[in-house]
Amino acid sequence: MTNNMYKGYKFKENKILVDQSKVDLYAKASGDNNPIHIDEEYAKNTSYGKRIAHGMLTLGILSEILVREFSKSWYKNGNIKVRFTAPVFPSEYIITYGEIVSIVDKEEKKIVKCNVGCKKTDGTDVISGTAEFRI
Amino acid sequence: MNVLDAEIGQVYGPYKLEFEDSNIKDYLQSVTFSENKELYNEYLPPFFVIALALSNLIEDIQLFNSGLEAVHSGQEVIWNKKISSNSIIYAKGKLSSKKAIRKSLFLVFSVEYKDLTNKLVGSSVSKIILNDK
Repeated sequence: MTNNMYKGYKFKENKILVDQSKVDLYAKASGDNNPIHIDEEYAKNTSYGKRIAHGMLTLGILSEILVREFSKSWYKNGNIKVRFTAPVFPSEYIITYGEIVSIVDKEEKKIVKCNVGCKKTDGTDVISGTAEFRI
Repeated sequence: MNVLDAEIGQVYGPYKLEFEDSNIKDYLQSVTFSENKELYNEYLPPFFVIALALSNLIEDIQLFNSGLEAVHSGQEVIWNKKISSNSIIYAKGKLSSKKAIRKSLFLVFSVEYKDLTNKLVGSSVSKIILNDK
């Protein structure tokens, strides 16, 4: 096990800018061209009043934090379950966080369970949930 | 089929997912960090597969022609193995729940991901709420 693989380990918090260029790149790469993400005029007439980032973009960033923390242990197998609790508007920063809450032996492997999420700089949660992987 | 007309159990796809270098590069540029990129020389970031499937599904269910405002409220993702960047993956979706509560429609889509040998490589669940504008 690497030295961050223990119950109670808290991930390093990362403050990340979600700007429109990331949203546009995500839309291009994924094919999700919902105008609420990329068309300012369209977005003005929605309940948000302006463009919002894709939830899957923010979740993708959170997954990359798990890659950064746990490398191949995360991306070779895993599961994540989250709720999107608030929109992220382009030019906002998100702060990622996480903590290992349990490590359980199962079938000659260990199951690592983490609480994970992202919040805005004012503390508003935008994603919260749990992630698990086997080591 | 338009999701407003669809019944629970309606199947969407399968969608054939292929992964072009330029799309992978754009995806990584939008979500990852420089120190992670070398991990993806051979394998895909797992969420890229989910993102592609979801965009296919969203188009298929005609979400943005519904006249309603869509909110992605929840997401579950499970993957069982690393996926090579030259893989072909088939994603098959299903409307697994549809409930109208007041003026909102609560939808749950389940998606299974299989490789060319028909082996299950992952699954996902997307929760979407449609609200009156």
